[in-house]
Amino acid sequence: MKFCTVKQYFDDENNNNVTNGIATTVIPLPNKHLKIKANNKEMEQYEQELLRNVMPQELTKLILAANYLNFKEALDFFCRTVANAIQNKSVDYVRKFFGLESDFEPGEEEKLCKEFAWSFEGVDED
Amino acid sequence: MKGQRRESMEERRSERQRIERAERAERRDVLRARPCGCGGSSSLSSSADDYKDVISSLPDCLLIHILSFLPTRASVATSILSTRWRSLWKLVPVLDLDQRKLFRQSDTDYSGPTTTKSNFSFLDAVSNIWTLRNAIPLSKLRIDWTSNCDSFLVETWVQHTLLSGGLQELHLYISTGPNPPLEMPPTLFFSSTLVSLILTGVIHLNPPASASASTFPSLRILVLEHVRCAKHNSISTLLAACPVLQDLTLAVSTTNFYGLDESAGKVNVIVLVPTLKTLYIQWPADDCWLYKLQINTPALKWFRFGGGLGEDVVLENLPNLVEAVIDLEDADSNTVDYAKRVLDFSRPLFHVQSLNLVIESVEIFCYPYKDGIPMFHNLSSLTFYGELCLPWCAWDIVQLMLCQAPKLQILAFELTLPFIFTLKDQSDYSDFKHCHLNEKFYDPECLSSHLTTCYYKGFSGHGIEMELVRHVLKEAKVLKTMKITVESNLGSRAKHCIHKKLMNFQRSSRTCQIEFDGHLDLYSHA
Repeated sequence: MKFCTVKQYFDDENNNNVTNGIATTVIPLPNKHLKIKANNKEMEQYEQELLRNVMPQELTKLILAANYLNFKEALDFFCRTVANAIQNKSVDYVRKFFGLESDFEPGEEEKLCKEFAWSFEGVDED
Repeated sequence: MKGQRRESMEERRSERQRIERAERAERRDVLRARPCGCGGSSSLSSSADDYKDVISSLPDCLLIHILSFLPTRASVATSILSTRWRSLWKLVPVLDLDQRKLFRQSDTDYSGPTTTKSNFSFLDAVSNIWTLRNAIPLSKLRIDWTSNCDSFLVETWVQHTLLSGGLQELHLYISTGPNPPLEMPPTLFFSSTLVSLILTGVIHLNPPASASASTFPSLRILVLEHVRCAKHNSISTLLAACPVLQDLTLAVSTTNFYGLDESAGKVNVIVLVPTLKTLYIQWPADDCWLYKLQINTPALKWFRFGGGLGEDVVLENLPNLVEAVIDLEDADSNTVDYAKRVLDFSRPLFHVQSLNLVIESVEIFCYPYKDGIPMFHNLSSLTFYGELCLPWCAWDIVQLMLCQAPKLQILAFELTLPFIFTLKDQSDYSDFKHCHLNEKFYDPECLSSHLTTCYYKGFSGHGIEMELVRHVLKEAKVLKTMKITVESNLGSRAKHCIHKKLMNFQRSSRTCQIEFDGHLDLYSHA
């Protein structure tokens, strides 16, 4: 039931949605999940190993793939990884991480900064 | 001719890229956006484009999903990233407010006044957040406010959240200081979507007598720590209203029922939950006669108990128990009586596979069995933890227990020495030779036939510790691993000394590996 989208993916021959590289990472996850379902710590270690060297853009593709495949645990895991990567980081770091550019009007950014000044206190050094 | 062909190829390629880019832009608005299937033929410039596109190609709902894993403070900080992110945080159906973490003082880049207090008030900040965010119903509300919590404000938020419906997780860690305690609103007991409820601190709870299995049909995790209840049987009433509960943590202290009319009877906690898998109970050790505890949980796999055994502490029906962690406190009562209570209490624990005992309570645990502890037939892992106050008595009892666990494979110690012992010179253990283990009388079968692993965390090279390790290495014939983790505050010379002595101990198992985790730089020592 959970993986009917996965089955569909395999049935679909000409599938552009999930590239092969992503598939090899995401597809084994359900089996692994079932095996180490009882032991949360083991799963965490496995997950750390898996994503140690993954670039942000890869991570984004993984998120989209997990979303498309309707695979909730993987989706939560990838999103949580992105969240952990940007937590307590400076604005510039996060912008670089996501490949974003500031498109604010000149005064807007300062205004926002002032309004939520308490949320910018004490971030990590880059 | 050639030039023309090349040109038309270029044209067709750039035309294709234009179409692809337009398609990608369209897909960005679709809920289940698909990633651009980049082929291998992209040039360098378009791959940078693709990189940017992929990041921005996440639809709002997925960005919000990412934000939902952040504490609210970090989530609000993303409003400054770009115009797209400006209001995303307001749509996140999660509020995670932590007073301690909302204002972190970084030593290096905070240039303000060097006081521990922040320039900003937690109250102002959270009021601001509450007002600004969209009134989207919350699926998770977590508030950690342990310094002069404004209970009235939190009550308002909780009430509002509950009334909006759909709440799945409610976690409150509250300490109100001079303010009145937090009163949980009665609407809590109409929250049928609640999956996880954690209440810790100065909170008042009054489950209605009419609570039934339809009150919390989805609740799987319940934690009540030092929460004050209105009636003697409040907790029992609450537990009866949780038909699918799997995880229960209950910390009851004498102040929880302070002011209740003693003539109305004992405080009665009945844990009769057929679905319960994990249970942690912290029970009062003083005035035990005021409290009654009954545990009957056939599906229980993991059990932890800390506290005193009053007359009315009954533990029964635990056929599936796999692991138990026990920290018994010595109640101030008749020792024969207490011995019987310990016997009755521990009967269901003899078939567990894994047992963790606080070393101080080992003596209490073994007290009723001076003539022989029953066998732990299934025990494969035994851990002793806590502070080592009377090393010489405890070791006898450890030996006693080892004799009754014939199939033991893993033996672990996670002990700390009280300060007075650490003052002694670590490298000289001959002082305590007189408290050697009584090898003549105890010859645990498990040591020679089953023990494969032994861990010692918090090793400081003290006489008693060395003796134990020496004894295990000598007797354990199938030992594969002996892992010693040394106390981090020992000097490197002491560590080298310990390491050298350990390596010289006789080992009866040829395959035994000694792992020494002391961050030793072996090559610097001659």
